[in-house]
Amino acid sequence: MNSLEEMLEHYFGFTEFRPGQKEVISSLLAGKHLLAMLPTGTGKSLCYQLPTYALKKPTLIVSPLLSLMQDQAEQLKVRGEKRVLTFNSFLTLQQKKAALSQLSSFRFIFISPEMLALDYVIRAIQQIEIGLFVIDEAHCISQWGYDFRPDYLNLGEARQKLGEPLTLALTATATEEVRKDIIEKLEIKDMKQIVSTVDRHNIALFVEKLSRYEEKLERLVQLVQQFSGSGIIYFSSKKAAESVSEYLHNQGIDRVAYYHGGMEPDQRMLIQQQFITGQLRMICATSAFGMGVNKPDIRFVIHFHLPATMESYVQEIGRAGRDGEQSAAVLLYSDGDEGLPLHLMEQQLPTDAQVEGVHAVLLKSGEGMMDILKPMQEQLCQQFSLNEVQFRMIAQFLATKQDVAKPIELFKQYCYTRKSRNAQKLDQLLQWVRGSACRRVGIVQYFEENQAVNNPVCCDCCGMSIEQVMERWPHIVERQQADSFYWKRELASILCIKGTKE
Amino acid sequence: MANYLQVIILHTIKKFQGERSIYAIYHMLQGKKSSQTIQDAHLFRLTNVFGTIPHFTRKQLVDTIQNLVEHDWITAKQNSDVFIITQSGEEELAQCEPIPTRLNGWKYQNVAPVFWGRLNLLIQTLSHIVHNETKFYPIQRNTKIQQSIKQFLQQNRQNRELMAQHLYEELTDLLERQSDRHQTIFVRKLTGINRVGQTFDQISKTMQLDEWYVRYVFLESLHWMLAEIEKTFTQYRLLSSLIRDLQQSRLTQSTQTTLQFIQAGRTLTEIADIRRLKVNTIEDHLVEIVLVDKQFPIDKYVTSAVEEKIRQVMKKLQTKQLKAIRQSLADEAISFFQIRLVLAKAGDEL
Ligand SMILES: [Zn+2]
Repeated sequence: MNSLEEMLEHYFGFTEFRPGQKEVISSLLAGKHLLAMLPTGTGKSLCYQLPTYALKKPTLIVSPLLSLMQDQAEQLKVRGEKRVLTFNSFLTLQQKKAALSQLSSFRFIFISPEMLALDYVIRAIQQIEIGLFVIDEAHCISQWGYDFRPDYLNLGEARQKLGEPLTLALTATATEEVRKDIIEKLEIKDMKQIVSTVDRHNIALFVEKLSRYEEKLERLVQLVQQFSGSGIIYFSSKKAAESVSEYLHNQGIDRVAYYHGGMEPDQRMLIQQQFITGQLRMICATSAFGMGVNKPDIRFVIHFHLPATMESYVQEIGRAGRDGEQSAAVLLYSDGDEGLPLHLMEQQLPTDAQVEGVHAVLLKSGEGMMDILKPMQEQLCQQFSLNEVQFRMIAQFLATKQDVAKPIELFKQYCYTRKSRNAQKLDQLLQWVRGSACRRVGIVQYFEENQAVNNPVCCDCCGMSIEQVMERWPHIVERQQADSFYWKRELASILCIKGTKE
Repeated sequence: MANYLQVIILHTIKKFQGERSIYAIYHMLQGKKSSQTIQDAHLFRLTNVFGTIPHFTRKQLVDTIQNLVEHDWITAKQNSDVFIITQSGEEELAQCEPIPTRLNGWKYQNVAPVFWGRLNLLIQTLSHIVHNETKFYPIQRNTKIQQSIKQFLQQNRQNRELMAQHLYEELTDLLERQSDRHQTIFVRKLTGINRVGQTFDQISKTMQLDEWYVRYVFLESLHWMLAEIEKTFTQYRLLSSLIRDLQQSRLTQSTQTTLQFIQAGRTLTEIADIRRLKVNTIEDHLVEIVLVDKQFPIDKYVTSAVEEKIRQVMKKLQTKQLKAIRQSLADEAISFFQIRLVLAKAGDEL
C-alpha cells in the first residue's frame, strides 16, 4: 500500500479525503509538528488514525474528557481496530499495571492529562517508542481559550520527558491568539499551522429576537414542527433542559428527551444511543452533550439560551450537517439573556476572598501542598463555598508554584484578567447577535480569517428565511413510534425468536 | 402522595423506632460495610433495603427528611438527629405502594449491578449476532463487564441462535412468574439490535409511575431473579453460568481472614497482634460473622449464663440500644462487645 488514498480505502473504506485532511496527514508524515484547526465534523480523528498505520508505532492521544475518550475508542473498535487502550482514573490499580506492562501491544493509547502527570506512567511510556503524540481539543491548554483545563498545562513538560515525539495538536475552534498560546505552552519552536475555515457552508444561520420566555417556547414548538430530522436544542441550565423537554412532550411532540451532566452515566449513555440510532429525534441538552457524538445527519441545532462565547457557539452548531446536507442553526434571543452566561462564568472563577482563605489554610499547615489539598477538598469547599471547578483551579495554580508566598497575587491577577476577558468575549457574541450584518461574515471575522463568504443559503441578515432553507432540506423518512408494547413479543424480537405466541 | 424515595425513608424511620439517627438511614441505604450498619440491618429488619441506593447523597437525605417533616409524617425526637414516624405518616405509608417483598439488598446489593450489566450486554451482543450484525456500540462501557462477556462467549462455543433461544426461555420463565409491571419495566430496560433501552425517567413517564418506584420494582426483579437462579440453578443453566463467579462469601475480605484465624484456634487478642489491628476491629469482624451465620459458636466469648441475662434485659426493655441494655444490666463485667454478639445472634427474634 503506497498512496494515502489506498490506505484511506483500506482502513476506513472512504475513497476521498475531506478538506484539510490530506494536508495534515502529509505534513505529519513529512515529520512536521503540527497545529491543525479543523472545524467540528470534518473528520479530525482520521488525521491521526491514518498516520498511525503509516508510522507503524503506537500513537498517544491526550483527551480532556473521559466520555469523549471512550466514545472515540468505541468508534475505533466498531471499525474493527482491536489494539485500543483507554488509560484513565477509572481503571483499577491492577488494570493500570497490566496495561502499562504491555503498552507496546496497543496501536492507539488514549490517556487523560492527569494520568500523564504521574511519574510511573511517564516512565512506562518512555519504555516504548511513541510514533505520534496527539493533543485533542488543544485549545484547553490556553488560559485564554474558552475551555481552559489546568491539567493541560502539564502537557509541554510531559512531551519533553517523552523525548519530544512528533506532535499533532488538534482543535476545532481557536482564535489566532489562542493558537499562539497553544504553541507557546507546548514549547515547540518549529510548529506548523494548518487552519481551515470555521465556516460550515451547509449550515444556514439564524438569530431570532423574541420579547419574552413564553414567546421563545412558542417559537421553539413551531420550529421543531417545521424542521424534519434530528436536532439538538441547547440550554444553559439542566433545569431548563428538563422542563422544556417536558413542555415539548406535553405539546404532543414525541421522541424528545433531555440530557445533562447531572444524570447517572448509564442513563446518559442510553439517551445518547437512542439519539444516535434515531429512536429519539431531539435532545434538549446542556453543553455536556455533543462531544464525541458521531451522528452525521443532525439537521438542526437550536440555542434556547445564549452560549458564553463565539467559540462554543461555533462548536455546538458544528454538530449539524456532518453529512454535507443542508442544515440549520437557530439562536433564540431575548433581551437580558446575557445575564445567565455572565453568572455561569463568574462561578467558574474563585473570588479574591476564596483564594486568600485557602491560601491561609495552606500557609498554616506548611506541608506539601498537593498532599494536603486533596484530602481537605470537601472541608475547604464547604468552608469557602467553592465549587469543584473553582477548587481545582486554585489547587492547580497553588500546587504548581514552589514558593507559597508569591503566587497568590499572580493568581488573583489571573482571575481578574480572565473575568474581564470572559465579559469581553460575551460582549463580542452579543454584538454579533444584536447586529444586522451577515452572520457568516461575523463568525469568519471573529476568527480573524480573511476569507470571502459567498453563500446562496446564508443567514437571516442576508434575507434567508427558514422556509427557503426547508426547500433545500433533504427528504427524511420519519420513524414511526411503536404504538403497543408487549414484553414477550419485544423480548422475542430482540433475540430473533420466531413463532412465539402471546 | 409521597414519592417512593420518601416511602423508603419513611419505612426505614419506622423500623428504626427512634433508636437511630438519620445518618444510620444514610448508611443503611448506601450499604455501608461497617459492622454497625450490617448489625442494624439485621436488628431492625432492614436487610431488604440495605444498599439499595449506593449513590445516595447527604443532600438527598436531608432534603427528603425536611420534606417528610413538612408533611408532618415524621417528627424529631428531643435530639434533632433522631426522627420518629407520626400517625399521619403511618397512614400515608399504608396508602402507598408497599415495600417490595422480594427485595434483598443485604444479599444482592453487590451482585445485582454486575448481573444486570452482564445480562444487558449479553442480550445486546446476541441480538446483533443472531441478526447477522457484528458491529455495534456496547451499551455497557464498564471494561470489566465487557471483558467478562467476551470471556463468556469464548467459553460457551454453543451455536448463537441456540444460545439466544435458551436465554429467551430462561428469561421468559423468570418473567412469567412476576407481575405485569415487573415484566414491562424489565424488558423496557433492555437494549437489542433495533432498540436502545429506556431510562428510568422515560419508563416512569410512559407508565405514569413514580421514577423511584420504577427503580425499586426493577431492583426487586433483579434480586428475585438472582435468588431463583441460585435456588434452582439446574433450571437456569445459561443464567447461572453467567454469574457463577459472583456467588462468593458475603463476608468482607478482612473478616474472612479473621475467620480463618478463629478457626485455627487463635484468640481475638492474638489475631489483633498478628494482623496489627485493634482488638475492637477483630471484635467487629466476629459480630459480622455471627450476623451471617447465627449458628456460629459464641460461648468462647459470652458464657451461656451471661447470654441469658442479656436476652432477658432485651425482652424486658424491648430495645436494641446497647447503652440502655448495658445500664439496665448494671454489671460492669459485661462488655458492649458481648451484648453486640448476643444481639447479632438473636437477630430478628426480639
Ligand atoms: Zn449572511
